[in-house]
Amino acid sequence: MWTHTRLQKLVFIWYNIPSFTGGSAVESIGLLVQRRTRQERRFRLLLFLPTIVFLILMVIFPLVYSVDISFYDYVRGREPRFVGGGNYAQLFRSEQFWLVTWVTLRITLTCLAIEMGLGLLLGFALSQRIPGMGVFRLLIFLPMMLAPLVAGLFWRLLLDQTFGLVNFFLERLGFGAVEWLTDPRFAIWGIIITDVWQWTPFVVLLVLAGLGTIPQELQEAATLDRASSWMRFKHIYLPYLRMPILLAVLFRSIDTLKMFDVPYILTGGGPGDLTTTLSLLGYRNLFSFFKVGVASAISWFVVIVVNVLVNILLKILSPRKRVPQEMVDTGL
Amino acid sequence: MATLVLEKLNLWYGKHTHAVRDVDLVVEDGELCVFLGPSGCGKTSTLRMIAGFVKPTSGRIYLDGEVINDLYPGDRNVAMIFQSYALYPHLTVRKQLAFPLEAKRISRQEIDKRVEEIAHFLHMEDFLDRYPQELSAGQRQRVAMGRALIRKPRLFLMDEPLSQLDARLRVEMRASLRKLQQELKITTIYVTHDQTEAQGLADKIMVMHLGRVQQVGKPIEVYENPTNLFVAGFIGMPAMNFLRGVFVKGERMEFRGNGACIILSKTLGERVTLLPQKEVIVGIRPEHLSLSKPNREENVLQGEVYVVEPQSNEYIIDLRVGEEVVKARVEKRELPALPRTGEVLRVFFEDQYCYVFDPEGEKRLL
Amino acid sequence: MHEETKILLKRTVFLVIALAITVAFMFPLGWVVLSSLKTRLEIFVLPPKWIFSPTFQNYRDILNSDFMYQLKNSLLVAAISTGVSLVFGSLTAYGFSRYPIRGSDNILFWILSLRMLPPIAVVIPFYLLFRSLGLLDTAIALVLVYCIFNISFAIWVLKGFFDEIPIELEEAAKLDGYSPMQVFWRVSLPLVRPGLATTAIFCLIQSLNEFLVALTLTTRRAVTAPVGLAKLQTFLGTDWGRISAAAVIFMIPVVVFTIFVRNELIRGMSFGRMR
Repeated sequence: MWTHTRLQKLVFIWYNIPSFTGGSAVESIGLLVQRRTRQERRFRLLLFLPTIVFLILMVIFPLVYSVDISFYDYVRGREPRFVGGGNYAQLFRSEQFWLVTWVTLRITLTCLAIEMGLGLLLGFALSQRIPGMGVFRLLIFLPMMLAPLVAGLFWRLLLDQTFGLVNFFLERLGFGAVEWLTDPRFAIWGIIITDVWQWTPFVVLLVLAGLGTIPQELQEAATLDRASSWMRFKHIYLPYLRMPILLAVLFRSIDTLKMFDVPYILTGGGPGDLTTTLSLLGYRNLFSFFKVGVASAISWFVVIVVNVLVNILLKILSPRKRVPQEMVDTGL
Repeated sequence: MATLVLEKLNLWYGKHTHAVRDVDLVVEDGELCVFLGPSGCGKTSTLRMIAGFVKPTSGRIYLDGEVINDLYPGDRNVAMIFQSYALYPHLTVRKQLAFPLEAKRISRQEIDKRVEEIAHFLHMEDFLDRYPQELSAGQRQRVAMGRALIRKPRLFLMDEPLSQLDARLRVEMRASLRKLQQELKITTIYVTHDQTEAQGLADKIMVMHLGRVQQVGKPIEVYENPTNLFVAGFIGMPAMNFLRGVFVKGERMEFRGNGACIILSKTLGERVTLLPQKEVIVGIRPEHLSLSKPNREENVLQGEVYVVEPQSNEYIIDLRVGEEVVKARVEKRELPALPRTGEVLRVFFEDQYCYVFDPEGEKRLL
Repeated sequence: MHEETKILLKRTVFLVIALAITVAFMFPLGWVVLSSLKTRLEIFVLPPKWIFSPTFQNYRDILNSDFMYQLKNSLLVAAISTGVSLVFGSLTAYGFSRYPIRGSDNILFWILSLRMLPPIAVVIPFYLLFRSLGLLDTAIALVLVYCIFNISFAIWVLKGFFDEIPIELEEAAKLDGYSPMQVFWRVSLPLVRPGLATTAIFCLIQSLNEFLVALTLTTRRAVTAPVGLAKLQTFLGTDWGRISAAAVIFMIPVVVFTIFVRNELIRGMSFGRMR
């Protein structure tokens, strides 16, 4: 987690843009190197110590322990046996494991593609300054505020092959019913649909935020220059959308890689392992099989995959040539 | 009694920024001392060290004889008016004024009494229950003053307090500030980049540039006797004219530079001969240039009119003298008519108003 | 006239599109609400009934069941965790903002990255640890784990808010004689009230909705609402009417909270993650 330097910098910068343009570099250097009075130093201890202690106890220690766990073979009833990289080796040899990894990746990529595309379109539509839009903007955010588990329940109801509404409409329209939750070809789509339904609004939110930062003057200048729609898109919208898109892709991919709730409640991971995500596999190893060591190994695999993916994404999508105005203004 | 002494004060930001260099200063009790200089010269940093927000890297600050370097700001009994006034947005004016007193164990009645007093003193009764956002800039300024004074501090610090006001209000407030300070006899430090303000308010001015003290003195001293090029150029509006050149000995001493040629008067020429060097910068203030009679030859600059700025009772004329542009303030009654561009004009100056500076060290030579 | 009608047309088209989108997204919600008012038979009927006489029996059943106890657990755990996280988080966020220490940047980055920690990595060691400590199936276990995510979130959000306060306000207070703690309490904290409110609501929602950790660390006594909902789906069959009613009841606090934060949402709380 702590090697995500570029991601962290990006998130940090995006988040802090208001305060970067407001404050000055000298001020922050000033704050950092000030020699404090004794009172201030004692106060600072109070500010940091509780949280640092808490995080060491609750994060660092368990994570280190978790690595340790992954090096042991756990069997119910017996003492755990040290196997070094054995769990990992076993995983990498297992077909099931690679299937599950592939399923997870497939979910991630598909959801990303659909959510980004849909989110951009909807974001544009909802960004229009038309009276009454506000209501729609509010309503559309409800899905992502729900518990993913609840979203899964909703779609479990809708996708049921007998009384689900979706099949009802499909039959009416002549397509024929689909066994969403049990057909090996379509089960994964049940998951994807649920995620898209719940999280496209999140992308819309980011897009709206990005579009909201476009100064009105730019649009007016474009009108004066009689810019075509394509020119507008390229020179006005795209620069301001770069950041939201990057953040959306980042957050959505991390979230879908660790997906658990929806597959759990929608399909239970089936049929077979065709909708089992890595987190679900880890959980199953923990509880159904008590293979704690293997579960831990799986969980670290997820951590590493997330880490790697984030770094790749950053390399591809990082603003290198055309830097957002805010970053230029603050001399970064 | 509140005397402030700064002894070899230095401030480093990080390893690379030397913001305040070797500042020494004495401010007597009841004096109003102005820290004057351009942005980034270190005046605000010095002020902040006196307030206690930043600890000096080296050097000492004495207030009434005791070293206050390590004192927490709140323990120094110093009050400050910030450039932005720093009024608490979540408190009404009344509560703002009471706020400083509530930090100490003062009874509620005493606090209320003092709030009423100060409100009356500064004419704030009308808006005691409003919030800062609802007040005009002038009103906010008064609240900031009230908040600072209510504690009866021994030292009063002001960081460009008038910069938020429009020009007219600024001039008015300047006068009332000065009057207030004199009535209360509080030792005050006032930071500004506006030298007109400094001249109008100060008992003593400390001119700073690039972290260093350039000169300390009474307003009149700093104006008439600048110690170096920077002070000479910074004080006075419009700024002093500077001409780079050499003194040439002919039958008379002459100053030649960049196409300008000035024949010096006998007395001036004699003094100039004593100077160790030849390449100099000559400085003359625009207000010391007057229209010259046509037959005068000594201490005369001749040039073409370049730009004319009419003011209420004078013209500010830009004259092209050789390659240089020289500004002159000429009273309207001296000129029969508005000078036209291209017209040739001759202006002269008195001996004592000719300043000579060393181009290298920028120190004043004459 | 021509221009005006063009604008009117454009507006209507967009509104219609927006309406269609919203209906599409709200539809599952609406359907579940409807289902919660149906009897068992009515749910299974094909074609699905739109018009029927609603019954509240499902709600009555749920209100009398364990689910309410589980909901109470959820709210309790969420409230405590949020409260603790606000305290710790505001203090530390203030520290990062005004009293940074050497390496603050790196520590802050690391704390922010905790938001992206997959719960599965955290849950496994905690399961073993809590088991040996006898803390499995307790509210305190959940509170502690939720605090990890909530504190990181709080620090992230609140630091930004603290950064926005002009430092002169705090300096003026210091000059007036207030100790650093008093400055924090009387000046800085009141000025970030909106930030505190927003953080509180998002933390509450996140904690309420959390599933994997609760599923792993609870069995009976400390079960939270999402886990309870999942348990309603047994292999003996699911009473969809009841589970819909439970879901609707569970949605209410979240919907209410969402209304409170709608402004923050639109104003680009894009760094405020839902998880």
